[in-house]
Amino acid sequence: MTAPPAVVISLHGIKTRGVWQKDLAPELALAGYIPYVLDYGNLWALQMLLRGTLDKNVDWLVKEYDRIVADTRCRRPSIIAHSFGTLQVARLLEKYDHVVFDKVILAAGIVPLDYDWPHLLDANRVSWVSSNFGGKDRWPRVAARFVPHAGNSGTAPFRRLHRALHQVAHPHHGHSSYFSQGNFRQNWIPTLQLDKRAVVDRMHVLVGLLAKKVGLPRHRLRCFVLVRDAVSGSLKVGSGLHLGEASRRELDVAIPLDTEGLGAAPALAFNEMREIRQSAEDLKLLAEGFGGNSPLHPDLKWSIAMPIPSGDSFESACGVLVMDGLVELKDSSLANELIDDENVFTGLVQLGSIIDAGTNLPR
Amino acid sequence: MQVSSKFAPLEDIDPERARSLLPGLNLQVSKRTFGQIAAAKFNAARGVAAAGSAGEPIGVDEAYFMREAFLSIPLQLAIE
Repeated sequence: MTAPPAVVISLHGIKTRGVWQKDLAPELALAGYIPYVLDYGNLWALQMLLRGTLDKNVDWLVKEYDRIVADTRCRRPSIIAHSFGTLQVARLLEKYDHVVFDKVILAAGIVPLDYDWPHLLDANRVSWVSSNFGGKDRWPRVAARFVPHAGNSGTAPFRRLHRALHQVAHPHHGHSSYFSQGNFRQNWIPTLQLDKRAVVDRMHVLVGLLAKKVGLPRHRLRCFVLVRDAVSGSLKVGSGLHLGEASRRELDVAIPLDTEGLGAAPALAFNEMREIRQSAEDLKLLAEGFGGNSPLHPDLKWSIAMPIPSGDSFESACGVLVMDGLVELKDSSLANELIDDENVFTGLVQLGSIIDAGTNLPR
Repeated sequence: MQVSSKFAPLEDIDPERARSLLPGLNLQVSKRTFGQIAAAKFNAARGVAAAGSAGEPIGVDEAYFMREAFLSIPLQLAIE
């Protein structure tokens, strides 16, 4: 029996029939997905103000969802929604318990900021949420004031956080700035392809293990998975693949694989397949190398970079796992290679398998 | 950070690479590669003593077997 296909549903906003969906559909198909372009008609702004409009549309949406799941045998489709479509998705998940999604990608959303994504993520109703909000988008603020049940998730981050809720600020984006082919190919499709939930779940476990091992509070440890950027080939933190506090600038740092000198630790770990550690003195030198404008966390005290093995031979890497701390290590519990720890080794092997699966899909 | 015999100065690994780094940089580099650590675990599981502290990498079939074994281990979530 063949595996059920991977399905991606798209849902537009108001005052439109979703031209972007027609642009997105062939990109999804080329990436191996079956695109379902849902169209609930050209809803006018005034209709949104009516109390019954949302539930009427959600009742239509659940029928579409059930039809798609039955027709394709895909038990867990993904969905990409814009504007009023995002509110429909949020309400759909609240209203119908049987609805589950793999990835939920929201753009310019009008969902309330206190929406309980953590509950849905912990209940495995949704595997991963990516919420994109823009600095130049005024419509979510307007919707939050006048549309029943709406909020302004298109201009601000959700308040209830979860490791599988990835929120991306786009300072210069307006309400419809998300629909370029470049965004589809560089951001949305890679998000659909990689099992990011599985990655962050393993990172979460490894941080817990390390916290227990070294006797430090979990919230003072951080974890990053770096993968090769599709365009530049440099190592970069995978979108959403980080735990712990880190600035956007720190997350955007690219490390070429032929880097030598300051900042070479992840590249060395990748190329040499060895664990590389940096002490506070190393990191101080690295920060000073940026000339007073260091992207590194000011409290960073130590860092360990470990190769994530690719393929079956354990001789090459598909990424790097970096674990670091914002407080000094207290004892000598890390005298031996962290990779030698059974759980860390297992975690790295599993991360490698997940990353390989997400990057080797046919396009 | 604690440095043990398991970690080596970069000169022990690749002198040319070490020379290319800025002076004063003291990265701690593990002596064993990921593959050598995997080989040690595989040999330990088979009850075979590893040759020294840095064993030879294991073959493709052994690596495949190990990978499948480790993929099936459930990692405990939410360890406090």
